[in-house]
Amino acid sequence: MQANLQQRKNSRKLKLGRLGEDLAVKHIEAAGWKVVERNWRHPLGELDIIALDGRTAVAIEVKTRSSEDYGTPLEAITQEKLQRLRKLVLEWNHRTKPNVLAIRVDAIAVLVRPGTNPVIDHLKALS
Amino acid sequence: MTAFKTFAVALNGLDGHLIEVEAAVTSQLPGMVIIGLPDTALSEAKQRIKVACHHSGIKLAPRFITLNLSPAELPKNGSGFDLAMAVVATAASGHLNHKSISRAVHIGELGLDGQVRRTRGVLPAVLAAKKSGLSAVLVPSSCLAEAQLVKGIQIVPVATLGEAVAWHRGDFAPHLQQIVEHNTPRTEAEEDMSDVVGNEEAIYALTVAAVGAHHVSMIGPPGTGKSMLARRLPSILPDLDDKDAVEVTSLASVSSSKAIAGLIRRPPIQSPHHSITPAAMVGSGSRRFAPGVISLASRGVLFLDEAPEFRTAALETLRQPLEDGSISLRRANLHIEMPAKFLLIMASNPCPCGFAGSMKKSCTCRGSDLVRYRNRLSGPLLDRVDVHLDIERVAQIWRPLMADDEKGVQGSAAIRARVAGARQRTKKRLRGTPWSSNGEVAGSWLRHPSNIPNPAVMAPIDNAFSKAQLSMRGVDRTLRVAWSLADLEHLPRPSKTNVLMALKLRIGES
Repeated sequence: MQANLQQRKNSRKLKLGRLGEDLAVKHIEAAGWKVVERNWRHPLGELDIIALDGRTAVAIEVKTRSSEDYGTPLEAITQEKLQRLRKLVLEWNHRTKPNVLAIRVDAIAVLVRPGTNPVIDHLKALS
Repeated sequence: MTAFKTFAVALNGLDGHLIEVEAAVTSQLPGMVIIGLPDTALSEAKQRIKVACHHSGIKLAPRFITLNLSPAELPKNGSGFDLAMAVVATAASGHLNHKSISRAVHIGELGLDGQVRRTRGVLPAVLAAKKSGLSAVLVPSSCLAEAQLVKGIQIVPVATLGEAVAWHRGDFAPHLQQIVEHNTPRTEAEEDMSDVVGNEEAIYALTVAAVGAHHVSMIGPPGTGKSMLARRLPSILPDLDDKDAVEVTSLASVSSSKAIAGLIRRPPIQSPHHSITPAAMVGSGSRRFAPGVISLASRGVLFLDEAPEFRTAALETLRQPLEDGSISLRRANLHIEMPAKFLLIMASNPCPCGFAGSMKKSCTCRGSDLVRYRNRLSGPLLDRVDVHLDIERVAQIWRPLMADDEKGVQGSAAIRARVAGARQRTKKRLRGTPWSSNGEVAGSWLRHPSNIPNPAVMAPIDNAFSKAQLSMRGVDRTLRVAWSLADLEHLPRPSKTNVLMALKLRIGES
C-alpha cells in the first residue's frame, strides 16, 4: 500500500517534470533555437535539453514546480548542481564535437499551477 | 540594472549614524548577500528577510539580490537593519515606488512571520533620523511612545513588514493615538529624606553637594545611616531639564530590552556591588556596546557602598570621567564617547572592623590593617571629592555653623525646591561663562580678583593652605563649595561662615 502510494507520487513528479521540459522546448523553439538533444545521459548525470542558440551550444536545466510555497524553482539549483552541469556540457562537447563557437548553461523555471497558464522564467548564462 | 536605496541607523554608543541601504538585482541564480561590514547577527538577516517577505505575501525577484550597507567602513551590528533591507529588497523586486523609500529611515528587526520588533536604542536612532533631515521614520509599533519623544520628523509605527510596504504605497494609515506623557512620574516612589532621623547635618552636606554637584565621601561605623542617606540623594536633585532628560532616556533606551514609556525626568542612581569589574564600570563589548554604570548614572548619582572594597582598577577608571564628565573608549572595533557626568557618593567604614575613632565601641583592628584599608582609596580619587563626611561626628562639629532654617528635619520635596532655587541662582550668576554649576567652574574664574572673597573671608582657607592641609586644587575645590553654600543661602558671594563650612566639608574634621 505504502509502496504503491510512493510510486504514484513519483510517477506524478515524473509527469510534471516531463510536462515542464516539453513546455521549455516549445519556449526555446519559439525563440528560434534548435533543440539538438533531450535527456542526454552520462554517468555523471543528465542534461535536460541541449539547444543551439545561433552558434552557441546551450545546456538547459529545467525546473518545474506546481506551486511557489517552498521557494522559486530556480532556488533548487545549487552551486554544486551548476558545477555538475558545466562538467556535463563539456563532456557532451567532447563526445559529440558539435560545430559551435561557445557553450553555456541556462536555466528555465516552469511554474504549472493547476487551473492557470504555465509561467516560464528563462535565466540565461548562469554564473 | 537599477540600485534602490533607503535608510537605517547604526548606533555607536548614543551617536546614531545614517546608513544607506542599497539593493540591486542581478541576473544570477536566486540568492542574497549582504555586504558592507555586517556582523554575524546582521548576516543572518537574509534568512529572516526571505522568510518574512514570503509570509507577508511579497515575492522577491527570483534572481540574485545584493544588499549593500554604506558607509562600508563603519562596523554594523545587530538586527535593527532588517526592516530597511526587506523594504529595499521589495522595491528592487519591483513592488515599491523608489521615491517614497529613498526619503525614509527604517528601524526594526523582523520576525519570521513578518512582525516588526523593537531593537535597542530606538530613541537615539530616531534622533539621528531627525538630524539627517529625511522626512519619515518607520518604527516598530511597540515603540511608538518612545519614538514620539522626538519632534520634527514624521513617525510611522508599523506592526508588520506588510504595513511598512503598504505605507510606502500610500495604502496604510498608522494609528497615532497613543498619548505621550511628557513628565513621566516616578515609577517607583523615591525614598524620602524625612525617613532619616537625627542626621540633619549630613543631609545639609548632601544638599550642598546637590547644589554644586560636588562629590561626597562618607565615613562612619556600620549602622549610622550612610547607605540610607546615599540612596535618598537622588530624591533631593531637581528634575532633569529637556536636554539631560533626552540623554538619560536615550541611555535607558540603549540598555533596556523593553520600549521606553516616556521621558525620564528624575535623576538616576546606580549602586554597583563592590565586585564590579572595570569593564562593567566604563562600558563593555567591543562590537555591541553596553553602557557602563558610570554612563547609566550620568546626570544622577553613582553610589559606591563599601568603597574601599572595590577593586583598585575599577575605582581608578572613575578619574577621567570625574574630571571630564564623559568617557572616551577605544577598543578593537570601537571608538566611543559616552556621557558620564555623575555625582559620586562613596560610603566606607573607618576601618575593617568599622569602629576606629568611634566613641561607642573600641576598634579591634591592627594599625597596619587600618593603613592598608585607608590606602585603598587613592589620593587622586579622594582629591576630587569635595565633601568629606564623618557621619558619627558631624553633629557636634557643624551645628554651630549651620543657618537656623537648616535645623530640623525636612522632606525631600522641600530640600529639592531649595536645591533647584540655588541652582537657578548659580546659573544666573554664571551667565555668559561656559559653566552652569559650581562644581564645573574653572580655578581661574574662582581666583579672579572680581570673584575671590576678600582677605578676611579667605583667611581660613589661606591658613589651611599655609599649614599644607589644602593642596592648590583643594583651595579651588573649597571655594566652589563655598559658592554653593552662598547660592543656597541667597548670598551674592560667600561669607566667612560659608568658607569655614566649606573648609570643614573639605577636610572632614577639625
